[in-house]
Amino acid sequence: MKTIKIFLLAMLVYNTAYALDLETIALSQTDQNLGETENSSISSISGNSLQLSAGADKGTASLKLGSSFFKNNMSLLLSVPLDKGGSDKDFNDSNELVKNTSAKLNFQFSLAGKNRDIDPVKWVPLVEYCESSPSEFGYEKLDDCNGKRLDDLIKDFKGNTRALSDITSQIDLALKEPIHLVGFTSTLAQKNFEYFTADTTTEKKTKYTGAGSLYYSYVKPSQLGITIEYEYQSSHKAGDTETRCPAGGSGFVTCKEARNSAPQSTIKRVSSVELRQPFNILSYPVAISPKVSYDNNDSLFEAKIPFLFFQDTKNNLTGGVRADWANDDHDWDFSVFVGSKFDVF
Amino acid sequence: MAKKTIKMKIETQAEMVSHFIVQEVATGKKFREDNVRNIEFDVEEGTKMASVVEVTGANGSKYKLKITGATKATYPTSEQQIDDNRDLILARITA
Repeated sequence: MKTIKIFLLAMLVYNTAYALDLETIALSQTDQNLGETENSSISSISGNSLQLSAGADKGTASLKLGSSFFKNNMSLLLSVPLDKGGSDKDFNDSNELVKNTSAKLNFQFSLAGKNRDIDPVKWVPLVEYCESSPSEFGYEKLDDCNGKRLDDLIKDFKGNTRALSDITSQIDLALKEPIHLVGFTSTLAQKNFEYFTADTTTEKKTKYTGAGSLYYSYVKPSQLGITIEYEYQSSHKAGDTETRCPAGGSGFVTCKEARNSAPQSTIKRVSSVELRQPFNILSYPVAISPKVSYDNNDSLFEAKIPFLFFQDTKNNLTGGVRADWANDDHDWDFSVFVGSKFDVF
Repeated sequence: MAKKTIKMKIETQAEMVSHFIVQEVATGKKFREDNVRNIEFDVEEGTKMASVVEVTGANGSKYKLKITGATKATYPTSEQQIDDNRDLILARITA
């Protein structure tokens, strides 16, 4: 963990040194795999091989290395918690880094399906046809064709040219081909605990939490998503908080607040299946994303059934009602929630 | 004939998976690289190629395709946002 801290500090120094060159990018997409939502503003430094981000979101300040840094779809997220009041984090406050620093590595890849057989040359005539007859695509000029993705071209094509029908149907099939996604996520974090050892004497200990998960997702673009995941977690559970005051004496006494016992090690092995399915009710878009999970160690079975129907200003489904059930109390809990935008991916 | 080094790159801060398929127009020979954000290859100057870049990810994820090193490359150069979890981009390249 020391290495991680040093690395994080080095990144922060780098960040500060190039502060004048920062380009602020507003990102609205959800970073589901890293558990982030709606980064309101992210500062980044882009270079030929290095890309850094620093953002404040959901009580943590983070630095993310991704895209350009790794050739494949791997990212490393280093984060520190924000103060409870949500104030800006001073990245150079090394004491704060010690409190609860974490590193999260995420990697995913997709298995090649039928799209492995794509012949790019065979699709060139579609763009060439667009350049010769842009009006058949609803475009004003030739250059409009070159700025479009193939998905746009086949959506915008209003002609009925037999020669192109083969191409458009091939592209349509390629766009709808199911996506098989495999990935893993691992997290390493440290947390400090302070607990009573006797009477009002306390002891401080740093404990490490590790988690790793493997997942497979089957995605039918914009129609359906199924994710099967296995997660192993090793963590430490703090005792209850207590306030103790020294016995005896007269006048004012100084009391102390700490946990009443040393942190207990806990292990979880959780298997889960999640379905993400959008559909319409009377032309109104809604979605469900039920998830069932089973913890082998505690024999705990949980079911979470969100039903989304709230939309944000961009018509993304972002909230609704949720029903939760677990076999420890056998009770259904219902709640209203607002979260990150729904997607089958 | 001199060789040219062509670089193709997906610039993004989002989690997404991309694949590159490159094919020579004259010979039909092709190669592909899966699950990468960028590729680099050497080819004889003047060679005409077509490439399809497949990008998959969450809807609305932003990215940009960048091609460098070619004598001419025609492709969408503006920032794109993934639509329906998958985008296909065609690039015509002359090395």
